[in-house]
Amino acid sequence: MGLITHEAVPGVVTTSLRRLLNWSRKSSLWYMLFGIACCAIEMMATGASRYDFDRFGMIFRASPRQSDLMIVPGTVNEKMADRVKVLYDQMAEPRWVIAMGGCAINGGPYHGEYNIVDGVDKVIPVDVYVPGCPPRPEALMHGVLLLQDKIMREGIEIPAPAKG
Amino acid sequence: MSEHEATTWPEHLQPVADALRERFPQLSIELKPDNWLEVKVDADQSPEFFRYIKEYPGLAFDYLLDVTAVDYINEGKLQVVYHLARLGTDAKKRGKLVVKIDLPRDNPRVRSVVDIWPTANFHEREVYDMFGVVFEGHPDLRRILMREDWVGHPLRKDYVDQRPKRTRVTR
Repeated sequence: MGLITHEAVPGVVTTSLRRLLNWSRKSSLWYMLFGIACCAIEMMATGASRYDFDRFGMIFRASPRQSDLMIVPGTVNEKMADRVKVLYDQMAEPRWVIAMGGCAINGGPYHGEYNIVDGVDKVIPVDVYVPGCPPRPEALMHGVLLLQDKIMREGIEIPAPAKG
Repeated sequence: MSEHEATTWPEHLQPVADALRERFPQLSIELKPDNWLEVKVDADQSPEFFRYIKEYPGLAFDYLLDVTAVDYINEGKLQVVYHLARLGTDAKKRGKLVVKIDLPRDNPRVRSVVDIWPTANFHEREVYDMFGVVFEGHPDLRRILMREDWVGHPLRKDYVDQRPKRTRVTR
């Protein structure tokens, strides 16, 4: 939130509507209760009390209609690809996707096998890729933080954070 | 099988071999490591054979562990393999039986055993899905793992992936 000009008035900030929207969206990323392979176990661990997704305002929703974020945790096979697409289409916009683990990124250990879709980005657009087999909860949380960065920049020109 | 070999068998397997030979004298029975009996059966003989080993009181193989297949592409044959056990007897006396049926690779057809062991239903569907073996008399012979519109049988050695290439989707 940018405080632009005048003397600070207690309890008042000035900002743009776009920033306010982005801030509210990134602070309540409800993710879909959806797991298709072993990465889902790490996703559940991230959601549970030790790593605690709740502090980012993230709670799982058991319906795609109420979800903002789809974490794809696991191997997408040909049969599942259709279902993933249907679930994604059922989510209301704005919606984001995290590809979690090697399988969801490009097939991982199953790359090029029959029945395996080489990456969920062949089916739905992906915002953040979290590598690992499976990624640890810290890695997934880092992915979520990157996604929050991305959401904050939506519709606004903000210089990318300095590298290093 | 000579008399000498037969006498070295574990005691509890001897009656099994005897009962099998009594009905099917031409049958080749081998003893495999870990006391598995292995039998090779012709495809046209198989319904009678399976019915016999299930229902004959001295055999009573009531538990079908697995149905699978092997693709011997160089020999032009597909081999369907059945693993059987019996649970009704003392644990030390349980016989374990492997039945192998050779089928021609270009037209593999064999009689379904679903009417004898209902558990064969999904096993046979999987073998059909992966190898293209047609089980005659199966109540619902559809693909079980692959998509319904899948082309080919992926565990065959000459399987070629015919899927169209997928490209990356962006927003």
